[in-house]
Amino acid sequence: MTEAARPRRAVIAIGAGLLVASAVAAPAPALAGDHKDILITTTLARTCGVTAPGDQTIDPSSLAVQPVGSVSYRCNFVGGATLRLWSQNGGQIISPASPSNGGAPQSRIYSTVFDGAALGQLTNAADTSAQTVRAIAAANTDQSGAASIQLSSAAVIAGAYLDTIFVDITP
Amino acid sequence: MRYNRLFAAASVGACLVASSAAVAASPPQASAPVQVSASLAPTCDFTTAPPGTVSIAPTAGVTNLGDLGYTCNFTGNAHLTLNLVNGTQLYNPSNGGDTVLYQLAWGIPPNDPNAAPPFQSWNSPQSIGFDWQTAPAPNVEIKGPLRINLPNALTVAGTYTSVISYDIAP
Repeated sequence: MTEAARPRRAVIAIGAGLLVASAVAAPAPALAGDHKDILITTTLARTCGVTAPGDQTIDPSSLAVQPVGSVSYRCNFVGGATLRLWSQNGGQIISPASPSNGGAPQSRIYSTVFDGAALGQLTNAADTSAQTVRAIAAANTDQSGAASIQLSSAAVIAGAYLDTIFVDITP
Repeated sequence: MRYNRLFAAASVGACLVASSAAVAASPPQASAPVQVSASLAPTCDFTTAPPGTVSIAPTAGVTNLGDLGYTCNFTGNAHLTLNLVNGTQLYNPSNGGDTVLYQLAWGIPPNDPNAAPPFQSWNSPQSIGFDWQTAPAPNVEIKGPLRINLPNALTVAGTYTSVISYDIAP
């Protein structure tokens, strides 16, 4: 404690026409302090990202389960995330009308399986997409799942059959 | 009692004569002191403080929480105690107790309030005492910005908290 911080005791003796200062001990006053708490808070929102495999080629004449690559995803939390899949053609490979198919577009429906989860025929919109909940075991760690499709009937007319599968993931 | 003594003081002349003749009978004295004592305790109070809750961005960088200032009714040193339950770590209980270290600095003399003061961090509970200068005159506030620095952006989702507690005493 500093000199200034020590309790100051001003003792004044008042007499008859007499003003006398004397040092008389007074009770020590209690020291008074203060306290402040500051709560700091910050929130990082949950996010996920997904990476789709590049272009994949399948055999349109095969009814076997055919792999279409691996989808990788990562989230910044531990828990669950919803993976959604839909396709441009609503779960069909389509060969547009051309001279080789006599001007009649051809299509073949396929079903999709993602990492063991049967998703059936995909729709053509995100709003009605097939969904599968993925367990996120570790934050900021890549996880992946294999996707495969299986045609419900084999293509028999020559042509280039196409579809584009979209995938996204939300916390 | 007080009335009697004051009355005695007002009758100085008469009593002086009487006292010389009758000392053994303890006559009224010529002066009768009345002692009045008073003491004012030294005090220190936080007179400016950041809000009780401050939300910061989860990104790297410095955040000024606001001014923290105190006023003492004396000059010298005040005793400041910084209590940090988790050290300077933001704690995220929702994700298994992740912690993220931040740094703390108070821009107040002897730290330069106009320059970036040295940031300090602790990764364990702390109760640290400092002798901190008061203002040059009593009852004058001394204050400065309380800043924290997140060296790195948060990467794991969740709500993180940390409590900084200050105590000040004369």
